[in-house]
Amino acid sequence: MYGFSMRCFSNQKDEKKFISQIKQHTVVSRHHLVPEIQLYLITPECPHWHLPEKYCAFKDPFWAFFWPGGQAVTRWVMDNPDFIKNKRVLDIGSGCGATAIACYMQGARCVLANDIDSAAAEALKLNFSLNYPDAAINSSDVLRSGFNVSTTDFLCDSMKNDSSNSSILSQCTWDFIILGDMFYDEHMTKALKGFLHRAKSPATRIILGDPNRGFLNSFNNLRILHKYELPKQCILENYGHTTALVMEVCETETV
Amino acid sequence: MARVLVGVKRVVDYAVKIRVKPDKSGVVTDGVKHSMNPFDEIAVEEAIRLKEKKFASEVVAVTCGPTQNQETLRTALAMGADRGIHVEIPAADYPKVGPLHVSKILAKLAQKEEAGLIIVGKQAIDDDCNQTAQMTASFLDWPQGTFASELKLEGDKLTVVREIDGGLETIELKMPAVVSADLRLNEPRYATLPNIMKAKKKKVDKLSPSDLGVEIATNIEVLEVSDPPVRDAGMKVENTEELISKLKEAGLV
Repeated sequence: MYGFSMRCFSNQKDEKKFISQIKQHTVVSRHHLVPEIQLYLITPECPHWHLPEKYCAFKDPFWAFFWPGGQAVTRWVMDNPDFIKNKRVLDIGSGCGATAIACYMQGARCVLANDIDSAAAEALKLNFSLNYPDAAINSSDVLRSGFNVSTTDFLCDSMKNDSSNSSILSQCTWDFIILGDMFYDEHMTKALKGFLHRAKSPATRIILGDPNRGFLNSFNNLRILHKYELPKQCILENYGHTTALVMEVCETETV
Repeated sequence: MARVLVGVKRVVDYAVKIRVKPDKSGVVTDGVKHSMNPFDEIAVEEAIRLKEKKFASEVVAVTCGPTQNQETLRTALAMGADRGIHVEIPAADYPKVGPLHVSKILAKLAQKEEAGLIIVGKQAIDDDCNQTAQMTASFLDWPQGTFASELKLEGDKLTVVREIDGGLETIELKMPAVVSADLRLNEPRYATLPNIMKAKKKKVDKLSPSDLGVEIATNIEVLEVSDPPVRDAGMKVENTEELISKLKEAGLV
C-alpha cells in the first residue's frame, strides 16, 4: 500500500540540532485561543519576535506561530468534541500542529498531521510530545490509529489517478479534512480550490479557518460555522485582523 | 465601511547625511539607505487603525517608482495593509515624477478601486513639496483635511483636527475625502517577524502610469542643487562688557 514520505532531516544529528534550536528560540506558550494546548512558539518575550528577518535562525518559521485561521478552527474542534470523537481527521498545512493535537485530544480515532515543510513536521512532533509525552507518534508509511505525521505534498499527490489507490486522499475515508489558515496567497488559494473540489464527498466534511485575508472572497460554496474574536497576541502577530471565521465547504453553492 | 488608499513614497532615510553630487545635478542616492517616508508611515498606521476599529474594509498601499519601491510596499503590508499596488516607473524616468503625476495616479486609482478615503503623508522628506494630498483632492473634487493630527470617522462623516500656525483647527468632511498625515497623528507600529513573513504572501498588483492614462512629462527642469552656505563660526564672550565692546568693534552699536 502506498503511504506517504517523511522528507525529514538527512541525519539524526541535524534533527537534534534543530530541536535544540527550537527550544532555544521559542517559549512554551498557552497564549492563544486554545490554552488547553501547549506549543513552542515565538512570542513577544522572544528576541526573534523583534528581529529583522535576515537575523532569524530559521527560514520562514511558519510553524513557530499559531496563525489566526488555525486558532479559530482548533477552538472549534475543542468546542465541538462530539464531531471529532472516533473520527478520521486529516489536518493539512499542520504547521505548529495545534489542530491535529486538538483532534487527538478530542478522541479522534486517527489523525494525520500533514505539512510539506520538514521543519514544521519536527516542530509539530515536539509540540505533540509536549502535550502527550507518553504517546506514540507514527511517521512511517502506513497510516495507523492515533497520531500520524507526514510531509507528502498532498496537492501534487491528490492529482494522481485515484483509481491506482496511490493518493493520500484514498488512504482511508476521511471524516474531516481541516485547513487552518491556508488561504494566504493567490497561488495557494487557486491550487487548494482544485483540491477541495476533488476531496469533497458526502462522507467527508471539509472545515476551513480564515481571518478574512480576502482570498476566499471568490468561493461561493462556503457556510460559516462560527466567528471567533482573536486574542491580543494574535492581533499583534497579524496586524489588521481582529476576528477569524470557521467555515465548511458545501457541495453546492451557498446562497 | 470604506476602502482606504494609502500613498507611500520611498525616500532617503531620515538619518542619512545627505551629500550633493559633484556635478550639482542632485543628491547622492546610489548605495544610500532608503526607507518609507516617515509621514507615510503615519498614514499607513492610521489606515490600519481604522481597519482594526472596523471603519475601513480594506487598506490598499500604493507606491509610484522603480523596482526598489516594492520594499516600501512590503513594509506597508507588514504593518497591516491588505494588498499593494506598484505603479512602475523606470528608474530613468523617475526624476521627472513629482506630486502632479502622483496625484493624477492616486486620483485614477481611487476611482478604479472605489476608495472612500485617501491618506498620504503631509510631505515627503526629500522634496518637502506638501502638494500631493491637495492636488489629489482637487483632481477628484473631494474635500481635503491636511496636516491631520487627529481623525475620527462616523458613517460618512470625517472629523479632522488640523495643525495650523495658530494652533488647531477642527473640520468636518463628507466622505469620500483626502487626508494628509502630520507628525502627531499617531506613532507607527514596528513590523514584527510574523507580520513580515505574512507580508511576503500578500497580493501586489503592477501597473504603469499609462495604464491609468497618466503621462510622465514635466515642464520643470532642475538647474542646480547645492549645499546650503557654510555657517560662519560664532564667538563666545565672557560677560556683557565684552559683548558691548565686540558689538562696538563691529560697528553694530
